Amino acid sequence: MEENKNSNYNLLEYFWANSVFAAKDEKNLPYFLKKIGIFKDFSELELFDLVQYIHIRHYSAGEEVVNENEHSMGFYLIISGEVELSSSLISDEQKISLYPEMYFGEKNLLLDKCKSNMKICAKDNSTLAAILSPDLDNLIDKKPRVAVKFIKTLSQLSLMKIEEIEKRILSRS
Amino acid sequence: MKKNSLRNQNILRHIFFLTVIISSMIVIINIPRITIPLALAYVLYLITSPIYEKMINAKVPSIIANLIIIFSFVFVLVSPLSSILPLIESQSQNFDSYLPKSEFYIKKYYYELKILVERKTTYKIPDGFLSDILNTSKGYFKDVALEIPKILGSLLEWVLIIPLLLFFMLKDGRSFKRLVLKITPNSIFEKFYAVGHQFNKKLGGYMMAKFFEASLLGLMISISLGIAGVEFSLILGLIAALTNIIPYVGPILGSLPGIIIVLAKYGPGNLFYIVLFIYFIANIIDLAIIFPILVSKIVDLHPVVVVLSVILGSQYFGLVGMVISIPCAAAVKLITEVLFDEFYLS
Repeated sequence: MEENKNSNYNLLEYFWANSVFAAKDEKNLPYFLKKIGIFKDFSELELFDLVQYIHIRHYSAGEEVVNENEHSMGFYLIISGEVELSSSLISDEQKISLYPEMYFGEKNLLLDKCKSNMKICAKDNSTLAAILSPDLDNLIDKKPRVAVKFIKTLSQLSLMKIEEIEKRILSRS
Repeated sequence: MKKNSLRNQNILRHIFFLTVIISSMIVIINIPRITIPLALAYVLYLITSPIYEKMINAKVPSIIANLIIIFSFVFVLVSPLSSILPLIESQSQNFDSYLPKSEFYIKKYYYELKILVERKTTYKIPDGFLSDILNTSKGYFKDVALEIPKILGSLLEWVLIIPLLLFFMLKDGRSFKRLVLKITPNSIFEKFYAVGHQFNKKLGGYMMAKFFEASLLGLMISISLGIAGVEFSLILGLIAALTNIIPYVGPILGSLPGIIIVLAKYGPGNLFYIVLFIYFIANIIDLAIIFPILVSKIVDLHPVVVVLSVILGSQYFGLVGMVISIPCAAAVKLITEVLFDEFYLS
């Protein structure tokens, strides 16, 4: 598998990745992040700061990312490949597939010792960008402005999910 | 078939990761010449990295921030050493000339005593007794004198190596951490990262708190001894601060030089009791106020565990082992808690 550029960008590399000369694909992390809607409010410099805290992980097809009922502390963005969410409580038809630019695990960053209700597994060879709870702690210490924006984004994502659940409950009743 | 190859790949990744970690630990533990400067540089890295980050946040270029820290460290370490080295040299020269004088006085008093005993009891004390003691003592002092250049040599080696290691830890620490995470198998990545983060946080917090605690105690003792008119009050404060890093025994060790100096110079008079009182009050303030506020919450360990870890640390790594034993015990506790959560609560 061709190696992604890891997230250890210096400022020059970051702006080069954003320039017209750099390849615009999933190996270009700054370009990839800008494409994702949740980071639309982040400035270039804020995204540069955030990129320093991201870990790039490669998963083989069938490899588990998070097991059901396991403590997880990561928020994951799918860069390439396909990830499947399943549970012992749902049938095979109800399994959910996630594709590039989608994400999961936002509550892991907001809650301490959060248990995953789903088994999350790579369906294809996949590359994920992970931000873990200790990274968020470091971000709060070192880049509080970026951390506040990121936490606001995570809160919005969680609230959007709650709203979606409420709508579904209302439509059933 | 696919599942089997995935399992084999996972096993291979775990084996590779564990081999790298265990072999690095074996190499580090078995070569104290590397272990001690590496441990000291790492402790300094944990103490200085928050300052380094603050400078980076204040838009100071990383290389400048790094050099400021290195030069301040070199200045703090080298300037006392450069003033201490001539002192040690002159004292060891004095020691060389003092030895034959001492031997002469000991022999003179021994023969006087021998004649006295012979006259009173008719018992003849053999001469071999004195020559045995003198030869053993001379051999012992020679060994110590031979060790001094060796100790100074390793101290000078540390003065060169520690700043160099600290420079690269500040410069490349992040890249190194990413490299280790890169070879960490996916299945243990989150836990390994979390334990590493907690360990650094605990060790860094403990060292920083201990540094402040020792500085405050040293300052209290230096000022109080200075006011009381005791000579070498600054050095005595520095000794008390340095020994304070060692738990339990540290305060006693730190107060001994001051007490001995005052006793030898002024005898058991008022000043002796004042100095005793100063050390007692300073250590009470440290134990009752400074330690509970700054340190105890960081390492939440049972006193028996603290004592055992200090003994183990001193057994394997001497003084440095005593200093790093408590945060290491805290780290072991942390890892045990994570494993307990994993195997029993998950």
